[in-house]
Amino acid sequence: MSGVPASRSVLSAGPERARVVRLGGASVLVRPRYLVVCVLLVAALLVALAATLSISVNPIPLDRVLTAVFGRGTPAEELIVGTLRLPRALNGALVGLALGLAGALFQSVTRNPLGSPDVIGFDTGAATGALVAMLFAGGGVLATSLGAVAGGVGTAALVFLFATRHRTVAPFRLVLVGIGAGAMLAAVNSLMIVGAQVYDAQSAAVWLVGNLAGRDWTRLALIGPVVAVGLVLALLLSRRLAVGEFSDDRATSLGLAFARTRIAAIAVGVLLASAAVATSGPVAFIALAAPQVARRMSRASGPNLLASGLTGAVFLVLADWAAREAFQPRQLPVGVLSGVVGGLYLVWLLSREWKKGRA
Amino acid sequence: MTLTTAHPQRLEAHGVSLGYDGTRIVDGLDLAVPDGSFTVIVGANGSGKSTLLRGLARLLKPEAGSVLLDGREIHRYAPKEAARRLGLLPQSQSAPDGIAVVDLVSRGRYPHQSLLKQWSPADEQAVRDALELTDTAGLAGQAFDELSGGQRQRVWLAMALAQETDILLLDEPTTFLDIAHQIDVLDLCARLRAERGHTLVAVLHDLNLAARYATHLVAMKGGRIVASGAPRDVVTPGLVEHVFGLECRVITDPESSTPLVIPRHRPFAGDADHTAEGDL
Repeated sequence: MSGVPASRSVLSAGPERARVVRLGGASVLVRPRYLVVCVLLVAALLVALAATLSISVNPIPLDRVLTAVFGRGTPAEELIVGTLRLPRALNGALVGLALGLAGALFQSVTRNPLGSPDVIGFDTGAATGALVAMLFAGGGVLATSLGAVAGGVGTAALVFLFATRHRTVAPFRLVLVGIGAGAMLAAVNSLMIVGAQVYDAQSAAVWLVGNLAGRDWTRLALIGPVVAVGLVLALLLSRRLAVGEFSDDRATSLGLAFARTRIAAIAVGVLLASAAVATSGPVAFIALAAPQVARRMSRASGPNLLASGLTGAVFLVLADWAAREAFQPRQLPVGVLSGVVGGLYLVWLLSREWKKGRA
Repeated sequence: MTLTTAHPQRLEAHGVSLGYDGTRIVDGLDLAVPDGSFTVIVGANGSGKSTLLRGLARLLKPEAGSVLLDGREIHRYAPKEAARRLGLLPQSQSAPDGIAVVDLVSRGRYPHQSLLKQWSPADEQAVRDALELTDTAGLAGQAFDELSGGQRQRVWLAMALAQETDILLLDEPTTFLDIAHQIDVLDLCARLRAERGHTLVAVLHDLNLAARYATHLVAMKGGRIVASGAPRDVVTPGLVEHVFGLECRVITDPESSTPLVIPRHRPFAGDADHTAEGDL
């Protein structure tokens, strides 16, 4: 006996404690724990945003921050909050959201916690595209963004092609081919920097670390719509992804042609990851870690898309704040901080996968 | 071989050829799965039995010929429609990290669900039923990762049963299970047929278990069916020699009165007892 009374759904026995809401013939599953986690993450994001706007070696009290946001502060406050800190923080939140979502999408379709865009070369490929735009096409914001998307999509297409056999994609091969492609593209990126003029090379090298300093409203206007569309598309794929997390065979036997879902999820993921890279450069760790952390908080099965995106946003806003303030008078690019933490996390993840006999 | 069945069965293969990248494994095969039977496919490794099952389960598209489900080519169905009629227990054992048993089993309802019908009373009933039948209701809240091999297979079976299809295909459902759990799984299959009138098609490695549980036995060799029918008609020393290359005696299982294959003793050099008899 499951011990679940007939008055409640048998699903409530699971850790998601799912409840069923019926309206006429329609029924929707509600996962209270998941909802609470998402609400708490939104709250954490608001707190992180407030902190990064206010707490600094040049602190601005929160009430002054709010006054400045609504355009009634002193010119100095409005410059610091409205022109510097707020667009930077919002860019950070959107990049984090995009990376967390992309990570959740990729990890779901590869069925592997290592299958995130920063590990399997898609971020590196987007960076290659952006570098080409920067070094050879003048480096405007739009050119860089288009370059990043072209690089990400091109890399994804190549990895997909080489990972395909018998007209299907083996998820594990996708990860391995992607890691190889990432290593090669990193070499290409280095080659471009070595071959460039000193000034160009230096700014490109700084960009490659991943940085949110100076990201303004123009950048926000570019990444905002992409993330909004990506989020909606990703959520629409959510139920299918949950079915595909077993195996292609099981998905087929449940009535889902998973090959199409996988391509759609990768397309959305590449779009999101490329948009993130175009904005901040390749920031490591967020896409890899956010879905894993979100899953441990929500304890929900399935791709945990929204929770992963919000976790990524909180991570990146906090990381950027720490990188900006913790080493004053120096301001570090956020990619340095996320790289160190991400490296340690990757070692831990690999050793865990090794024990499970999967890596 | 041509079909002489008077009435078409719900699941049939007509001249079906299956393979991977041009390597043909099943070649022009005809099969009619008797409705309400427990059909078991046996054969040596590489005989094409699993490939045939993949073809029947629409995991593999035929290079020639067709698989018919209720008189219509199976690849022409909308995926969910086919999944409401025919289920599969594949061999793959991978499950998402940390998923709970009840969440896993409830995924079996996917072909019956849609965006605005995420959990109907029928879904609820089917999952409760499936947990009950497979004796896994007590495991509902547990993490799948933490189960034993025998429990896992019962949970996979519950997922397939939650799908509520009249036809269920099983790809080596007893592999990796100890003898008691093998019997558990096959008893449950027999029960589904007897009590619910389900049609089951399984690929099994163990010829004796196949002969014991099958109501219809299909023996394959080289991608073709070499014999089919009631186990007592199919399992003969001659056929086992032909299909598996094994010399054996066939006696009657004292428990179930089904054929029981006893491999011939094959003496080897240094086997003192038998060299004395001089039958080397």
